[in-house]
Amino acid sequence: MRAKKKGKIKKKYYYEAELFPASIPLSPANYEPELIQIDLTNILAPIPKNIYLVKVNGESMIEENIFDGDILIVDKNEKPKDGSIVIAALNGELTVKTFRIIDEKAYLFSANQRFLPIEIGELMQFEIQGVVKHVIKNLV
Amino acid sequence: MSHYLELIRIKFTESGKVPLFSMSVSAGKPIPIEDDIEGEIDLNEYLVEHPAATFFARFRSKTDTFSGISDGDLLIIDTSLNPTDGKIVVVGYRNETTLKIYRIINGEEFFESYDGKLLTRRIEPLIELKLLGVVTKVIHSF
Repeated sequence: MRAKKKGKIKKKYYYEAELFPASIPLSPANYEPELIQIDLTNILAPIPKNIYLVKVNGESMIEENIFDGDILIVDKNEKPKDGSIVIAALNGELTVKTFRIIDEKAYLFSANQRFLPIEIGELMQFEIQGVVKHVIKNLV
Repeated sequence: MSHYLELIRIKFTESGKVPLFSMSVSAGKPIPIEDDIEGEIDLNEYLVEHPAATFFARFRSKTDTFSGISDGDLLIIDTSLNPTDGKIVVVGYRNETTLKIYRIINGEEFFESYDGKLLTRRIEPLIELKLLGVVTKVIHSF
């Protein structure tokens, strides 16, 4: 899988929103909705300068429900843990993989069984460039 | 009902700009620097095409996923779009709102449930399944 484009979030913005509890129709006559303010930046990019966007190109992560064309929101300062989905620069190429630590060795797994896990060797050019926090899918 | 939606109505108060970076894949350059800025996109505009006709909902289900949508995912729903066959829509019936797949079969509209059941739009003489909007974006968090 290749990562194509990156973007960085700079400015904060807010949504003012009414939060409806479950199973309440959109225009309930006798229901007073609670007025809340939704800050999408807080949800998607709590520290905007740490965040960048990547467009997914390829199908090596389909078992993690990440598909070609999805947009990933990546935190470049978060340390990856066992099981984190990461953006890794590997031998000069940006990839999206699952980071695993098994018996103190680091591996990059593709969430697609057609691709074999990669053990991170000492001679490989390898750098974790962030942990994937959210994925945005376009349905229309 | 295998899932429900927490509905959230939005109102825009401010807009946000997102610089767009272009990455050379083969070069594998680390985090982009200012020089790499290709242009600016507005994240609001990217995520919400018709602000006045848009609401959010959170998908809730203990057991099931719906076409890859899982518990806790944030949905962006546009009420001004006409769905086409196969699109995921929000349907209201009595006090319930659920996701369905919109189907057109021989010119007739149907709503398909997660279990593949097809519902006609008018289910009783006076009660109609209400098409509330088309899901345009799904945000899944890890």
